Formats: sequence, C-alpha cells, structure tokens
Amino acid sequence: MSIILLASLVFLLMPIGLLVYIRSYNRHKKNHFFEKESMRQKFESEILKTHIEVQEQTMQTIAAELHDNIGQLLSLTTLTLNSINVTENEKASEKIANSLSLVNKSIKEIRELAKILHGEQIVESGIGNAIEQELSWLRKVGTYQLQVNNGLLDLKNASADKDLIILRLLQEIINNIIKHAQATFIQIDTYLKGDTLFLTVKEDGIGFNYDEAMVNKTGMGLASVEKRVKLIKGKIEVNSVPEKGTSIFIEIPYP
Amino acid sequence: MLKLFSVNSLIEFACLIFALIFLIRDKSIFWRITLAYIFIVVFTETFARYIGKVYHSNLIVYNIFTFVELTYITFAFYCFLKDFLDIKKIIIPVYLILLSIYIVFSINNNMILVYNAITISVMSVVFVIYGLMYFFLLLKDEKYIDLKFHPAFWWVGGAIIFYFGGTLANFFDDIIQQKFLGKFIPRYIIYTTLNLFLYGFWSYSFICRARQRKICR
Repeated sequence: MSIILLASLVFLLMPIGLLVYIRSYNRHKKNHFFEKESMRQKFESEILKTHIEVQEQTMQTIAAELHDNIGQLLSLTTLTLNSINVTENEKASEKIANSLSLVNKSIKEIRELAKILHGEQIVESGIGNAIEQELSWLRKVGTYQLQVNNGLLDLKNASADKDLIILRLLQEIINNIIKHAQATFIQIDTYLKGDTLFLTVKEDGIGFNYDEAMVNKTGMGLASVEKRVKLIKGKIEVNSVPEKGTSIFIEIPYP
Repeated sequence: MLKLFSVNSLIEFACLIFALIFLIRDKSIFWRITLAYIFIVVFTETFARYIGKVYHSNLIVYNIFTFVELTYITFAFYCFLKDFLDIKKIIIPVYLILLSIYIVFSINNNMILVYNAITISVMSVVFVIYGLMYFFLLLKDEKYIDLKFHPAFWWVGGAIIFYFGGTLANFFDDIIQQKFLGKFIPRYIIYTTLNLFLYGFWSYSFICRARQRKICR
C-alpha cells in the first residue's frame, strides 16, 4: 500500500518537475527573445540612419549641382541679358539668342536634377535602377573612366531594406574613392548568382594599408561599410595595395 | 449538515470563490464555462456526499459527472491547443472514442454500483498527452510568453499534475479504496493532495486571467 502511495508521490512530483523545467527553459527563451528584439531594433535604426544618409547624399548632390552648374548658367544669362543694348539690334539679337541657349541648358540641367531627386525613390523600383542612377551621375562628372557591368537591372525579387543598404554601400564606397583614392579608373560589377548578390568595385588609386587603417580607425568610411555588410549578413573582402589601387568584393544573401 | 463538507469539497469551494471573484466579469466563453464547471464540481461533491449518506452509494453521481469532466477538459485543451495547430482533427475523434468507452461501460455495467474507472483511466492518459503536447508546443513556439502570469500555463499545469499524479490511483483503484492507512483510505489521501494541486493551480490561473483581462482592456 505504501508503495502505491510512494509511487503516486513520484507521479505527482514528475509533472511538478516538468513545470519547473519549462519555467527555467522559458527564462532562457526570454533572454533569447529580448536579444532578437534588440537586434531587430538595431537593424531598424540602422535602416533609418541609412535612409537619412541617402537623403543627405541626394541633397548634397543637388546643392552642388545648383551652385556649380545651374547657378552659373543663370548668372551668365543675367549678365548676358544685362549687357544688351537695345539700340544695337544685331548684337542684341545675338545676345538674346545666347541667353535663350543658356536658359535651355539650365532647363535641361534642372530636368537632370529632377532625376536625382527621383533616384532616391527609385530604390523602390529596383536596386539595379538605383545603382544605374547613381552611376550615371558619376559618369556625368567626367572625372573618372568608368567600366560598369550592372546585372541587376531586371531583377524579379527585391528586398526593400537590403536595397537601401546596398545603395548606401555603393554611395559610401564611391565617396571614399572620390575623397581619398585619387583614382582615374573605376570598375563596378553587380550581379545576382543564385541567392547571392555580388558587388565588386575596383579602382586604380593610391591604395592604403587596410590593417593599419582599421587599427588606427582612420578608415571610418570603410568601417561603416563593413558594419552595414554584416548587418545584412553579407561578406566583404578588401584588397588594397599602396600605389596600385583597391578592390572591394561584397557578397550579400539576396533577397 | 457540517459533515456534508469534506476537505475536498472545501478545496473546491475555495476554488469556486476564486472563480467567482476573478471570472464573473469575463466575457470569454471558455472562462465562463470554467466558472460553470467549478460550480458543477462543488455541487457534485456536496450532492454526492449527501447521496452517499442517504443511499450508501454515490457512484452514480460521480459516474454522471465523469461525462461533464470529459467534455469540459477536452474543450479546455481544444481552446489552448488551437492557438498552435489545427487540433480539431485530433481532438474530436479522440473525444468521440472516449465518449464511446464511457457509454459502452455505462450500458454494460450498473452505473449505481460500478465506478467508471476505465473511462477515467483512459481519459487521464489522453489528458496527460494533451498537456505534454501543449507544453511541447509552448516551448517550440518562437513567441515569448511570461509564464508567471499566463493563465493557460497554470491551468494545464494543474490538470497535468492531477491526471498524471492520479494515474496509479486510477489503475489500482480497487486496492486503494479498500485498504486503510491508519485512519485514512489511501485513495482519499491521494485525491485530496491532487485536488489541492489542481484547484490551487486553477485558482491561480483565474487570477492570471483577471490580470490578463485588465491589461488587455
């Protein structure tokens, strides 16, 4: 009889033990859950930051364009129009024709500017188009010899958050080249192979010591690029040889 | 009159008080049914004691109550498990099988003289499986739930302790209700302990439910 009672006690204790185990397991789950939640928040805040940076870059480009190009054209138009002497018919009509030509050029430039503004939203219509827009701007500057193979123009899948980060990565890499590389030639390749998006940027600039830059924290732009690549679970490889140039290989799981 | 109340009925009555305080304003069908069920439990226990004193056998009351218990507990597990999977396909056929066992046993045996221990034993095993299934799905689920205040967890906890702990008592029902351990029948000791856990856990689950309702409001 007491055996049955004892066995019943064991049978009673077993589910209690199970409940205790479940509660302790749940505590681990809680930690894991909050860890995941904080990672998600970090990702979202990074996306927001990226979005702002892309906007800032667009604004800077527009400001530079307005100041250096359209502003100059319109100033020249004003000067030309001011110098018109109505009594000198022949010269006046020539100057008016010149002014008209300058105004038309300004209109054309403004249209191009509108495209940049649209370019920021173009991420929504595909990363291939956004990259194209970004590169067309670089092409227009005319400082670099560009070789572009954009294999992302007809992508069927898209990932809005990743697209924004990829565009920003490219912008940051290009910014770094403009600011520090002193390059004359830039080669950009983008394509999708299976579930991986590849982005390669090569240039023939002055190069740098990668390890040294990372230790001395002088490569802040590059550190930010690396952080962003890791954020979207990608891989990055930087090969740089002083005086020979730099190559950056990025692989991102996509979409 | 006082002898109509045993320790078990006092435990159940305390649970009814908790249910009345914390569930009376609950609009969820399940918790309303739970309140009604606890009321039936208290009524059955008291009525069975009365019948036992007058007619010397109250088995018919417990045998009829088994049907109510089977239906309520099945419904409760359905409510808790349906959040994780399409349990209807499993729970309805199992319920019908248990009901068939109950009906066949009731027809073949005298309900007044024979306790429907087979149905109780089989249904206990089934409920333990449901309980384990619930815990497994709860652990597997990616969402985090604060179990300290999760009414379903405590409800299932109470049920699994009661049905798992009572497994041996159900299988050796004949032995444990005839022998004496000092002044008490072992069956009485086992079931009082199990009831204490069951209704204790359920009372706490009612508190959690009231808290959940308040937060969600």
